[in-house]
Amino acid sequence: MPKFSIFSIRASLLYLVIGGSVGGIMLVSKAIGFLPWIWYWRTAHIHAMLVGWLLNLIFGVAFWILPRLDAHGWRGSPWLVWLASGLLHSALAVLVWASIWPWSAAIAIASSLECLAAIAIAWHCWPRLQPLIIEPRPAQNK
Amino acid sequence: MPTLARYYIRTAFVWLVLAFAIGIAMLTSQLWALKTNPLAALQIVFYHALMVGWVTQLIVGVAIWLFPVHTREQPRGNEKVAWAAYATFNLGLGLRSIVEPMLQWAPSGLVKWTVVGAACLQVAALWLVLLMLWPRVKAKVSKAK
Ligand code: HEM
Ligand code: HEM
Repeated sequence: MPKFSIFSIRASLLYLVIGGSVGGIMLVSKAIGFLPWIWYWRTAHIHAMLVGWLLNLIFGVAFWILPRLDAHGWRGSPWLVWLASGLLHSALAVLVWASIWPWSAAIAIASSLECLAAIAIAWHCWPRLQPLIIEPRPAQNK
Repeated sequence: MPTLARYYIRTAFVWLVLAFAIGIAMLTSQLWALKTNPLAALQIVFYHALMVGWVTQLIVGVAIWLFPVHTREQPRGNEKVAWAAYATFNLGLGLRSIVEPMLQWAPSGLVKWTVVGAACLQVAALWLVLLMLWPRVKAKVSKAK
């Protein structure tokens, strides 16, 4: 598994447990009125799960496992996936912040960041979405 | 496919079917234009059956199957952790799906504390999933010791 995928999948697992723990506290709060302010974190829970857990996981697994570009196993330049991941993490940070302390410009900022992240990951994956290319190794000339 | 992965993935399909059944019941109940629809309490159950029971459980099952192996002797790490995660995951979600709507239908002390128990099981399950998968997110197969 390449370095980017290790980073992204581990980040996604952390979002799963931290976001899920927030969900757990909300559920306890719903039952016995414990820590009622946790409900400000409801939107943060939803985005940590749907964006933090699922999207980071998808980015990491896609980079790892989509068809390679040549017989050496080249996955394409990694800078686009790092960019996508950086944008996604920034969008999440803004979203989590804004869902706890509502802040109107946050939606515009986070959605722009997320949109750019989507463009970057799509740009990376696009040429890899193809049947496997089996090229002759450079040594064995045709 | 390892037995563990088959349990996770098959149970994920059971949750998919349950989620659709709940969805169908909720949508159909709207035909009667009730003043207060008791099935509205199932919305959160529906979302989590779909996102936790189906999507998350399917992902974990496929990860157990396809992530780089832990070591040659223990390809999936400590399987006890994986089974404990499976049990707490489904027990927690199943219990929650029953008692969370009961907070609206028939609240009682027992229901409240069962919700607390279900929440603890669900959170414990996620930490066990982390414990199980973290060491398998790595570059290569570790050599036998
Ligand atoms: C330990 C596991 C989890 C617990 C204890 C938990 C708990 C909660 C709670 C208490 C709420 C608020 C319910 C309300 O408004 O009454 C909620 C909402 C939500 N959660 Fe979770 N959650 C968990 C895992 C997840 C996961 C893994 C996902 C998605 C991948 C997810 C997605 C959502 C969504 C979409 C909502 C909004 C539901 C709605 O508006 O009807 N949750 N969760
Ligand atoms: C960066 C882009 C995004 C922005 C700026 C954004 C913003 C918001 C805002 C402001 C809300 C309303 C919160 C509230 O009522 O408390 C919301 C709700 C929601 N968002 Fe996002 N979101 C983004 C991305 C996503 C993505 C990618 C998903 C799914 C994969 C998602 C799923 C949801 C869901 C399910 C709700 C409903 C929550 C509820 O039931 O209250 N969002 N989002």
